[in-house]
Amino acid sequence: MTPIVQPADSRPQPVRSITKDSCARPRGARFQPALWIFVMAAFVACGPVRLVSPYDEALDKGTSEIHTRVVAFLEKMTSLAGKPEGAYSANVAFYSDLKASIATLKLRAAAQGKNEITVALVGELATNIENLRKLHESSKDAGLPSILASPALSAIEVNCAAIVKFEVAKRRGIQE
Amino acid sequence: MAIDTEALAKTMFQAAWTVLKEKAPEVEDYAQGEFKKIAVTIATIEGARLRGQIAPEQAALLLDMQKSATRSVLLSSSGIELLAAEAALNAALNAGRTAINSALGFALV
Repeated sequence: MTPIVQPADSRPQPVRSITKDSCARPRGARFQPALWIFVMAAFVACGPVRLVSPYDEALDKGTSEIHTRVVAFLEKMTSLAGKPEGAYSANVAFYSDLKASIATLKLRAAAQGKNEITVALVGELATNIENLRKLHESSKDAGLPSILASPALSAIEVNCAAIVKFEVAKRRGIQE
Repeated sequence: MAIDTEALAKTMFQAAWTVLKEKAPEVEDYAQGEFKKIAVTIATIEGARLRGQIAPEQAALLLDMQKSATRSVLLSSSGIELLAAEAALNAALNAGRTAINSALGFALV
């Protein structure tokens, strides 16, 4: 004889009285101090509290390298101002390469949590490199004479210094 | 009329300092130094423009660059302010470690 198996949902269920307490909270979800202490301990015991991402050596060195490239380029452009080699059309590749390097730095910064300020700082650097490109483009065959290159470099140096300053402060864990 | 770089640097710094002095007093020298550089550069741009050495659109681009530089100084200062809060929080947790752990009977902090 084949036993009759009832589907699970058709079996008779014990009748539970609905009380005020059981409506307010499902079973097993009562406040458990031990659980809360465990969660807090797990949170706190993971190490020091972090409000800012840790120091990133690649970002520090990458920014310093970009600064070196910009300084060398602008020095060269100043000496070549007015010559065909100093014209924007002869130097478009520099801007493409530099933009790519900065995009990589920004990607790296954005990949880390709690790093919004560094991402914004790298964004400011990217903005000023684009402004430098527009400046060069606007002067056409005249290139980048000192009167344009000098204030532009001054601003880009502030951009780079701000990134490095913040990274160094992160490394020390205290203020500069 | 030529820009007074000292006055401009002071005005910029004082505006920023009203916020920074409470939250990140350690950035005073840094912010002051950077705003001086920016003020000098703005004066250079103004002089070049008045002498007709640069076109108006070039002056505008150079001023935009100084604005970006200013934003960078303020962003970096805000970051250092956050680091200060982080250091204070960790110092407080470290200072209270023994008392908290003794009271709880296990190593919470």
